[in-house]
Amino acid sequence: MVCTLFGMEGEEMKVIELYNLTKKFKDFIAVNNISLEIGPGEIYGFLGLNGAGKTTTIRMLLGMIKPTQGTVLLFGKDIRKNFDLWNNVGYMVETTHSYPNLTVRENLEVYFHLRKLTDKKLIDDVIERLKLSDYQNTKAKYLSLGNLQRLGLAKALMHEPKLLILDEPMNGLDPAGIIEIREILKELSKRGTTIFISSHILSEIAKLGTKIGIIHKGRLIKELESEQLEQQLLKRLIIDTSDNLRVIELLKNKNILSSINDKGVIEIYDYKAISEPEVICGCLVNAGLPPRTLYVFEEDLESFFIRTISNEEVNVWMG
Amino acid sequence: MDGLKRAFIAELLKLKHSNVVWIIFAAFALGPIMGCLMIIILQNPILASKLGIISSKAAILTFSADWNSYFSFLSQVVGFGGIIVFGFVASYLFGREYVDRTARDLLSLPINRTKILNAKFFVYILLCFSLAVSDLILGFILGKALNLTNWEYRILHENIQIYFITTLLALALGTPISFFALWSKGYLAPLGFLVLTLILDQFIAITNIRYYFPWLIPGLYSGALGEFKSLLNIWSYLILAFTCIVGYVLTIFWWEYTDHI
Repeated sequence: MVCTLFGMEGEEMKVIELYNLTKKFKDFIAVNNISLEIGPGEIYGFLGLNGAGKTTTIRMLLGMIKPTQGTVLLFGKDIRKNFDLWNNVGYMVETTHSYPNLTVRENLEVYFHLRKLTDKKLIDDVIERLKLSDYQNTKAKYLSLGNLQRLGLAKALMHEPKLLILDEPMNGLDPAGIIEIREILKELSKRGTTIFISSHILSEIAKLGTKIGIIHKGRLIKELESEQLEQQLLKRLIIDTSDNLRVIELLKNKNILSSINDKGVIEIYDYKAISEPEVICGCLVNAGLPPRTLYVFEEDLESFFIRTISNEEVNVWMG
Repeated sequence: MDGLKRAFIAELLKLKHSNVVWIIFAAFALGPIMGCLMIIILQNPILASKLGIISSKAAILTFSADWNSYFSFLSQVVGFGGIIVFGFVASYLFGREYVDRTARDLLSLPINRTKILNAKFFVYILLCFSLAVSDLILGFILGKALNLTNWEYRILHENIQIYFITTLLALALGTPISFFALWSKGYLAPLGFLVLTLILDQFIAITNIRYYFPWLIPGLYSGALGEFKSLLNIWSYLILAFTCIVGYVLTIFWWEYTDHI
């Protein structure tokens, strides 16, 4: 039986499986009964406020912390009993650190040996890929934060892992660096690498993630595909004309509810109106009320995230 | 075996460009240099009278300007100074992963965690023996330069045997230090523990349990306290071995099973 990323014939093996994962530190529950599954090639964005349980979950995934309860399977196996499987995993947890007195190349050589690799070309390749060629003979202690982060990613990517676990990988990178890393991650995903990524730069997660999970106070409160995310983001049509009160009346006659917000412009939440703004525009022009402003406003991931967490707080409060 | 070998190579690589290693070698070299200084004082009575304190110290150590005295002094350096310097080595090798904040990168690798620590222990042994050998070579050079008397194969053989057994005994006490380095995630606690053992040495040395206090045994074996060496017995060595094993097991157990937060 072939047992790589596929289990039984036709049945796709999950790369990450967490079942009822719980971690307690004395009386404090850091992670509470989390279950999730991630398949090959997916990019899973893991969102949460500081202290929500993201890093604890990632450390349980990496076998650094033992779960109080629950199971962690990587590639369908308990990785703590299968050490060789760690070569299928690359990781970077929080801010990356390297041996300060070693050069970039020497730092990579250390992990080349620790990962039992044999082809030295892997070091050259990853140096080139992460644009570290100019710094390969520079000691890590002299690197900028951005280049240190690249070195951390180089360590995680050098062995071409099937699963990448990244905690805040964009930290310290300049905008050009963020775009480069985003492209690298997308390319890896296309080649079948599964990526589990936590980041506080939510727009990055929105651009990258094929699936998003939101963790709050240790619980996974929402999990959705990127297509579902598009549907769940609040949208509204914003209109401003020379006589907004007449527009409200006009829309009311067409059974479209609208209101004037605190900035004095019209907001419409009607799904049909939002999906066909050109029809609304035509009606207004025909009525002699050509719009000065007309656009569809879409909630960003930050707002969606905060709204989701607030709803959860209300749900908990309401019991 | 391949995993252990690769981890060992990685550990050696980490020592590249390390200033700490050279500082430790330089500090340990002070031993033979101090011995050399005392011999110069003994060989120059006029100078000895001008430097009263050092002269008295040389007299206390029943020092004479011959190879036997000098070798014996080198063994005592390893018996007491070795515990301190080897402790620094263990503290550095095991604590640096937390000081450099690279410990997390050693936890999820295709080489199991015990092998990574064993590689560190092998590097520890290698470094400590290198330190001992370097002091011995320096001792030979300085002894030759001072024209020490009584150069005999028998004396050489006996003293080198004592020197390396003392080294081995001192080296065995590195395992509790490695545990404290991992447990406290840095250098401070292991070095604090080292200082504590040195303070305890002072008190216990004047009691009858000195033969069973692990941190005094290498010094006693080296002959530093004269006739007390003959009073070391099998229990003394068993207690030292037990301390070493407990330190090793605690180090491995902690690294394998603790939550690395």
